[in-house]
Amino acid sequence: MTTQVPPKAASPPRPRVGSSVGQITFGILLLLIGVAWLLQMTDAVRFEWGMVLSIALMVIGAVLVAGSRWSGWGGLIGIGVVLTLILTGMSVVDVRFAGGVGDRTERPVTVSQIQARYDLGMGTQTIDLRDVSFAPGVMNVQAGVGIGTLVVQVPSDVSVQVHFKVGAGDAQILGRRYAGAGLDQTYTSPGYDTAAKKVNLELNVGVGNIEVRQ
Amino acid sequence: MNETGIDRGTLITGFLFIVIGALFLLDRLDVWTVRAVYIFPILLIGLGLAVLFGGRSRT
Repeated sequence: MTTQVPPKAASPPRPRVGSSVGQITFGILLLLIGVAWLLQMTDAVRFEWGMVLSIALMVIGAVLVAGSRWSGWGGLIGIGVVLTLILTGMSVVDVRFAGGVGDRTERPVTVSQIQARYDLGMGTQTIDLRDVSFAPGVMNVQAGVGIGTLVVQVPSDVSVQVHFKVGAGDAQILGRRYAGAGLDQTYTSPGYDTAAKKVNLELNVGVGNIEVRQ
Repeated sequence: MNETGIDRGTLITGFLFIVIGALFLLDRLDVWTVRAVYIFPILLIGLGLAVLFGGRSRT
């Protein structure tokens, strides 16, 4: 007597829904980043791009965790790796893309017109303080440029202390030149401690250069 | 009976992205300072775990 062994049923193919969900996730991310960029260009909203990309990476991670039952996530994992590399690079040179793109010149004429902070994502930011009549005391000004040039001009009758950071590039602070990667230094003009009028500058450029003139 | 399971490689990678994204977000919020030199070893550890424990677990 012979018994026939029934043919082994083929195992069901692994569902590959990841690629389509990944595509949808990627599309939504592109859409949201595009809307954010447009809103920032119209000055409707100010975004800090490091935050946007960090949140995008977390969303990708959450989609992968939720979809780990399926296969086909190669594309989304690749995008996550690229985002991680971009965020790491931004962290190394401390690039903060806040404040839009382009060339901007701020020329306040009174102390009240001076903003506490000036930010530009990419381009040249010039802050001309030479027309301001500073009263005795200390004035603090912060400014940052993600990629580009930051120029600050201060009047000759004030003493200046500049704390500056440059991820990659150089700085020229009142005639002194600093160059290299990861600059984080403080310059104090002579007679600062005893001066009546003081301006403290906190300047930060990711990639590019800083100039302070008097 | 169908064999369904979780792809542990995808799961680990997903958790890794969530952790790295959260670290960078905290860095941007000035709550925590991320030293970029730590990110690559963390990435390698995660990839190593994904390779070691990758594949499908039975449920």
